[in-house]
Amino acid sequence: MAKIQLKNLKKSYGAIEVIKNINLEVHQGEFIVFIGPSGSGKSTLLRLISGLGEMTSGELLFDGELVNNLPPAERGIAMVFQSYALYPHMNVYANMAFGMKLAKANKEKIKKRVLDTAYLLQIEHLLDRLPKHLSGGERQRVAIGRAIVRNPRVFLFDEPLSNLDAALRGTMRLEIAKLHRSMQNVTMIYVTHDQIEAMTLADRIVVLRDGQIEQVGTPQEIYEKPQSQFVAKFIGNPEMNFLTGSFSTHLGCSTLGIRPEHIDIVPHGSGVWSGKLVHSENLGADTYLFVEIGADKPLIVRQNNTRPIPLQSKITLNPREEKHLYRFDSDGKPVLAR
Amino acid sequence: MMKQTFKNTAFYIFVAVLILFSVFPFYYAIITSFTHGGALFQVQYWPKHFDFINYKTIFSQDNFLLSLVNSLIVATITVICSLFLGITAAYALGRVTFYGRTLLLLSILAISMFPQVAILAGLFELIRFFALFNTRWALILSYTILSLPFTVWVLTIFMRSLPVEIEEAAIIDGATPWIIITHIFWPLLRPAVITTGLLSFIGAWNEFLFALTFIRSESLRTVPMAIAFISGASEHEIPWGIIMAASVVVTVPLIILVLFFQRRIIEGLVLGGVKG
Repeated sequence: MAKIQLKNLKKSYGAIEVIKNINLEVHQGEFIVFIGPSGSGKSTLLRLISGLGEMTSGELLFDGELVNNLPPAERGIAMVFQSYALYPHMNVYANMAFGMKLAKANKEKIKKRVLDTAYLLQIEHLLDRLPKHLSGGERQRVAIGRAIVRNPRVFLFDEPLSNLDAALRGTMRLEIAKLHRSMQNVTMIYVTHDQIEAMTLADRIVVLRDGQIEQVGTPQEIYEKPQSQFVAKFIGNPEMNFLTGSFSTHLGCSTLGIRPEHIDIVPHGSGVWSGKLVHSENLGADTYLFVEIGADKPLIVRQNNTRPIPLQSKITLNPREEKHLYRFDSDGKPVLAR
Repeated sequence: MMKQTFKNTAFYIFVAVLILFSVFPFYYAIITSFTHGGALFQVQYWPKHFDFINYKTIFSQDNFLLSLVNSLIVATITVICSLFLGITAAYALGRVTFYGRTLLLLSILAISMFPQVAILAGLFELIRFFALFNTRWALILSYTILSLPFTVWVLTIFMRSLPVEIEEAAIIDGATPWIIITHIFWPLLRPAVITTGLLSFIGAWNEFLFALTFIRSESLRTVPMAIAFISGASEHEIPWGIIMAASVVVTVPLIILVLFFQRRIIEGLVLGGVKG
C-alpha cells in the first residue's frame, strides 16, 4: 500500500562500502525482486528498508514520508526471514498474535485477524502447535501468516524459500504469487538469488552487483534487453554463451553473447559456427549440447525434442535471429546500432 | 561375548566407585547425625539405631531457625539481583555492539578468577562506605558480586547462541528491548537461567568467609556461621552429632531445589535444541 523511494542510499561498514548510492522508486502494489550474487548487497538493502540496518546516508521515503529515523515497528512493514524466525516457545496462534498484542489491540480483534489469516493460508489446524512440531513448509506459512496479521504497508521477504526443498519451493512460490494477487495494493520486496523466483514472481527485477543497481526492469526486459554483460550472464539458465576474439570482432564488439535456446542446428555449410559435440546433458524435455567450436569454452546449445546426436559428431550452428545476438564492449556495456 | 561382559562389569564397578567416593561423606554425615554420646566415637558404616535427639536439639534453638530464615532471605535476594543484572548485562554483551565489548567480557572473566580473600579488604571498605556493615544487605551485595561474573559469562554465551532473526522478528513486531528480554529471551534462556540461578543460590547459601566478616549480630547469622558457632557443653567438646544434624537440615532444601528444577532444565535444553 505504499510507494517507496530510495534516494542516494549508502551504507558502509568502516571503510567498506556495501551499498553505493542506490536510487530506486518502488510503485504502490508492486512486487519487486532484488537479485544478485552473494555479497551484492541485496539483503543489506532490504535491511535498510526494514529499519533493522541503519543507512550511512541517503533518504528513504514511504508514501513521500521520510522514515529514516522511524523504528522498524512504526514503518508499517512485515518481514519474512529465511530461517522462519518463529518464536520457538510460542504456539502458532501466539506467534501470529504477538505483534498485535504488543500494539495493544483488543483481544477480539486479534482473534478475528489471526483466524482470518490462518484461513487464508490454510493453517487453521496448526494454531495450537509449537513451531518445532511443524514441517519446513508449514513454518514458512506461519511466518508469512505472522507478517500478514500485522497488516503492513510493505512486505519484505528475505530469501524465504531457500531453506525448503525443491518441490516445496515450487509450491510456496505459487502461493506467494497467489498471495500477492489476492492482496492488491500491498507492496512486496523480495530478496532472492534464485532467478526462477525472480522471473516468475516479480513485476520488476532489480539486479544488484557490488552494492549498485545493475539494471531495473520487468522480467521480460531483463531477459531480452540486458543492459550489461553481467545481467546477461546472471539471468538465464543455462547461462548465456559468450564469444570473444575473432568470433566477435567482425561484429564490432569485444564480446558476443547468445543464449543457448537461441541457437539452431543447421545443415552443414549454412551455419556461422561449426564444431564437434563434446558432451550432452539430457534433461528429458530439453537437451543441452556442448559444442567445441574453437572458443574458450564449448558453446552450449539448448534443443528440445531432438533425436540423440552421437558424441564427437560434427555440427553446424546458426543463431536463430539476429536480434538474439547480444554485443558488448570491453566494459561489458551493450554496443548499440552498428 | 566374554569381552563385552567384562567391559560392562568394569564400567559398573567404575561407576560404583565414583558414586561411593562422592556420596560417602554425605552418607557418613547423615549416619553421624543420628548418633550421640559415646556412640559418636565408634566408627560405624551402617546406622544401628535412629536417634532424633540431635534434630530436636537444633530445632529447639531459636538462633538456628533464625539463621535458616536469614540464609533464605539472603540467598533468594542474591539470586534475584544477580539474575536481573546478569540477564540484562548478557543482552548488552551478547547482542549490542559497542566499543570495548570484548575487553569488558574478558575482564569479567578475569574477575571471577580472584580468590575471595583478595577482595575481602576492598569489599569491607565498600560495605562500610555504604553503611551496610552488619546488615543482610552486606551479604546480598557481596554474594551478588561473587556470583555475577559466572552468571554474566554463561548467560552471554547462551544469548549469543540464540538466532538473531528471532530477535529481529520481535523488533519488527514492535518489541522494545525490555519486551525482548522478558517475552523472548527469558523463556528461551530458561535452562541457562535456572542453572546459573541455582548455582548462585547454592553459593550464597553455603558462603562462610564474607558472612563471618560482615556480620556481627547473632540474629543476623546465616546457616554456615550458625553451624560453625554451635558449641558443646564444655569448650573441650565438639558436638559432632548436632553439627551433622544441622548440616543435613541445611542441605535438604538444596537437594529439593535441584530435584525440582532438574526437569525444567532438561525440558529447556530440548526446547533450545530445536531450530525455531
